[in-house]
Amino acid sequence: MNYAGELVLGRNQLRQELETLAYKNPKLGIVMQNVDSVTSEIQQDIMQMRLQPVGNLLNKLSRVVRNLSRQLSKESALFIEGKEVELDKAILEGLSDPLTHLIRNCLDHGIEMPDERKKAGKPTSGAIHVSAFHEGGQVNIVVTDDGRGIDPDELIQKAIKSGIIDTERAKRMTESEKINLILLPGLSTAEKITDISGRGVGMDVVKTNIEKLGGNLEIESTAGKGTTVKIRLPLTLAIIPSLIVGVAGLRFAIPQVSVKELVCIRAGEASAKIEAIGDAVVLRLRESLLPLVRMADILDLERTFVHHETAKQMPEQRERLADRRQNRPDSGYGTHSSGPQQPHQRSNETDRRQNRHGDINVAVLRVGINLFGLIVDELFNNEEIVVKPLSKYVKESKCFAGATIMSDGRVAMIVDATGIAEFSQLSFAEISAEECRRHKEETRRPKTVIGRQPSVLIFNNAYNEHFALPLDSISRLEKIYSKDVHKMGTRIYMNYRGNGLPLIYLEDILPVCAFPNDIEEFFVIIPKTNDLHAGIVVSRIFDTVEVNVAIQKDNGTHPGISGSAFMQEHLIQFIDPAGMLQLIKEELGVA
Amino acid sequence: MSINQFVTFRIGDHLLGVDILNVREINRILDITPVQHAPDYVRGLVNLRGQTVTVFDLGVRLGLPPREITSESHNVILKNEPVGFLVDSIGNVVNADEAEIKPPPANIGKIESEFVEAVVKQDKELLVVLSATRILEYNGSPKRRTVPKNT
Repeated sequence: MNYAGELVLGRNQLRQELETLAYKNPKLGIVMQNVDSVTSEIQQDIMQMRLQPVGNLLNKLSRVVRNLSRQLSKESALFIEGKEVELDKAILEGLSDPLTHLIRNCLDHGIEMPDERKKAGKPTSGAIHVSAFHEGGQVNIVVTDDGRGIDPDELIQKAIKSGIIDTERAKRMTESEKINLILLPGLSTAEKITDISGRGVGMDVVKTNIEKLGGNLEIESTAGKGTTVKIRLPLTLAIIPSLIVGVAGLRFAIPQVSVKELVCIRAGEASAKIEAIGDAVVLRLRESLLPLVRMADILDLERTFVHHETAKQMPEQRERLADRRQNRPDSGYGTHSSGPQQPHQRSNETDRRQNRHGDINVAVLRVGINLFGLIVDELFNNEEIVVKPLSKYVKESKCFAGATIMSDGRVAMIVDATGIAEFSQLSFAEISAEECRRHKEETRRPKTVIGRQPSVLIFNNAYNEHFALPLDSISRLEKIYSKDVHKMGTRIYMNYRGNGLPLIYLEDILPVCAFPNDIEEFFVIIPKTNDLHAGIVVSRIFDTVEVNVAIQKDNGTHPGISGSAFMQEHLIQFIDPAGMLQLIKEELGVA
Repeated sequence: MSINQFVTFRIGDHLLGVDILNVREINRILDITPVQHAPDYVRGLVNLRGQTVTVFDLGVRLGLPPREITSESHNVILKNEPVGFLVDSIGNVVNADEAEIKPPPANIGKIESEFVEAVVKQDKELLVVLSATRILEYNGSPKRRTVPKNT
């Protein structure tokens, strides 16, 4: 098997070397093509020979269950799923012992005696489920029983008694840490030693064997409910097609199975398509939100981009993709550093963002049912790579599934999409919730158009009085501090775009309670009008809502007020924009 | 009386050595691919005739500053593990009979004493014999920096 891998590798290296020579001798190309296709055939045949359905192995387990059940006078049934999943023969062979051991554990420790099960309200016959399935380029095998589960406290007691941990440490451990104690050597929960299990050389051997195959193992258990053991087997012993990407001058291989698509965000579109939700940065991609991760950040590498003039890798200046350049005029774009930057030079700079080289390359990766975008600097070709398992000294690097040797003879790391998603703590739930919310909003919006329900801004003058003004009659809303208000005669003004803007208190024009006088920061509504230059002072912006109630008109009201209604548990006075403008004009003496 | 042989090399001013029986080969494959999130003493991976070998920065491992790669730099590849030590330069093979091999003194410069197996007195200086096994023994977790959440 390894030789087949080496053959492919050698072929790749040979092809690359020959490409430089092919122009001298055209026959070389033909020979190479021949070798190329034969190698591919051999490789495929060998892979086919090596791949066997996991069912062959799982079927053997039925007999183990039957025999043991009889021996222990327990009732149990084995359910197998995913028999057709194919695994490398070498892995299957190595898997036989650990799986048998897990099944023995289920029966001996997990499944209770029939009368005990009856007392616990379970069916007398225990169920053991074994299922195999593919997930993100890995094969998962999950063994579940509905037995008594692992009691974490009992396990802790045993561990303390046998001196594996001390009481101090025990107190600090989480439930899952406690359960995972069972993977340590010398620990068994069985009360008496039988010839089936209970000799304390159980789960640690299973774990070691799985790790020898390059996989890992997780245990979940609920006392009284059952235990689940999840085995993840990686893509070792295989030749896998991979996408080669570049980050900070280094190359990485991403297994093709976890790549869903490649997206290129045009430099000019970045600020429109990328936004921040909480801590996460997301890309809007065809109606859905895709969390983005920058590979350079994950790997603590320098962020770079390829400069369009020099074609050199330049350090990236922006901190966040969602940042717009124009918000950071002083950040120094760093690429042209000649003298003080003139405004027109800056506009040249932004041209680069329209340029191809300012584009952002995103590889959309699959992790289980979730997708996320991995931002890389460069996208290269696809290459068939031979997976080399990571040595134990670098095993802690969860972002990598292995290493490989590229056709130029250098080592490249193989990216593990699951590891990256875990490491960057992507909050898929949060983002899909936001997505849901937006979808709902989308579906709601057309209705409002049909119903022609105007949106209004609800605000306060005195805190206990609520007013509403149609949103489409408002030009701007400015936040202002009391120190920025200037008094001139009986009138107050604020600086608005370099001019003095006269401000009107609502009580000056309407019969309402007075504006609170102790307020530090408040708002100014600038109404939409052609012939009036004024702002209305309001103390607090309450909300923006759609008017979904009938406005009650009573004849006694003031000309500036069109009516009132109860909304959101408040009595809201609706201001008539036209009437209000007229009143303001009268107040200012411009009518 | 048996004769022991040591492969010697230098890290900074230190003359160091390992038992020749632990060494597979010495080479100058210095095209090292770094592995992010690995322990700081792991310099990276190299391709040794189709096999990936983990290269340790022996300087960092011994508590010294990281080594710079120069024209004298070499990898000392171990026999039993696919691991190489990146060293500043390679010295001679030193023969020493058992009587010459002394237990390590309490204090040997700046080198982490836990890695020192023995010392051999040479004409001018002291050869510090390192224990390859102890250097390989995995201890301490890798440095994991938190990722900035903004991307």
